[in-house]
Amino acid sequence: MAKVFVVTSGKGGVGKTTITANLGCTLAKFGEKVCVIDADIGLKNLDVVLGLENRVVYTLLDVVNGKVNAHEALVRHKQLRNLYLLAASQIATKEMISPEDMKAIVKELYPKFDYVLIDSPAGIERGFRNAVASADSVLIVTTPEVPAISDADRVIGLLENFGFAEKSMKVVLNRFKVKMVKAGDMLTREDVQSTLALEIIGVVPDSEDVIIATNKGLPVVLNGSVDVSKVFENIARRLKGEEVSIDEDLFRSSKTGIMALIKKLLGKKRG
Amino acid sequence: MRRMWFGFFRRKKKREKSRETACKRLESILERRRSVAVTEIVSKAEFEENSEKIRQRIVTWVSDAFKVEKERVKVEFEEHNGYIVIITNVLFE
Repeated sequence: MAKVFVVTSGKGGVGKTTITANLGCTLAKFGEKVCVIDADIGLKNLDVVLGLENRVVYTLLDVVNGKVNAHEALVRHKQLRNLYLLAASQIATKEMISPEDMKAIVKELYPKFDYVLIDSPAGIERGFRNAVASADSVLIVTTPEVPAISDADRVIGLLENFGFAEKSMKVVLNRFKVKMVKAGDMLTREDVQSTLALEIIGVVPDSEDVIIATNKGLPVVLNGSVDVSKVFENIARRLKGEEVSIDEDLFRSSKTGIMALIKKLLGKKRG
Repeated sequence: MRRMWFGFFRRKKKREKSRETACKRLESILERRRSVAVTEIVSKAEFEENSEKIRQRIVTWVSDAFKVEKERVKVEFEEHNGYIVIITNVLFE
């Protein structure tokens, strides 16, 4: 039986899709059988980030309409053979799918997978309710900025109303800039944690490699910075229940000096 | 020239870092959103005796929280199923 996570945020543009794609790839790299579901109907992007946009034949809407079953609609990843995508439809609207439809789809999928990751749309309306309906746990993505944290706090309140316990909700702090934190110009991990009063499961550094990897259609963990990949590996390990200190995420992104520069250059060359 | 000399050595005013500003803004945004926890329960007799005082305290709290004048806050009490329901209206415009 799979563990079902929904990746949500409230605010748009904080990196939900990037986190879903990279976590999915990392878990698959660890040998887990993973299914990523794009619940952002109408504004789908997960297939694009994974570089699978040309392979999508059936979408979530086809499954809901009974055209195919959930397994027939899955697209297998090109490199990671145990990573599958259930794509969203671009022509449909969020109202065409109900929370019950999502529950039925996930119920059909989870006996065959170790992990199901659902990429939620931004906002707190129907699309968000569809995405969270079938999840056991939540990953709330935020950046260290006031609007993103304020929206994340609102989402946490809604999730509590939906019945999610504090333990089942974790925060992923994305686009963290150690340099700015050191200069006193960015909220620290502790600031975010004390504001949201939830455990932070990972701190992803801001990296140009993410943009480059997205342009190439290959998630950064498969084609880019060694440091960012290591952070996703840490998050995946924590999701699996292993104890990995959060300081390891920050340590990697705060390294400076000649060795770090050489490593960075070597890391880029490998991509 | 003299002014420039003294200006050079004048201690610069310490500007607030943007992280500190962000912390304060977040606190004020989220504080307004949180519900007020019940701190004490008073008996009916006590409530009736002090209702005007309680009304004034609510008006003060609301006018501070929403940054409006006290005259723009209206507080009414109604009894429903043995509970006192406090209805507060704030006129923002």
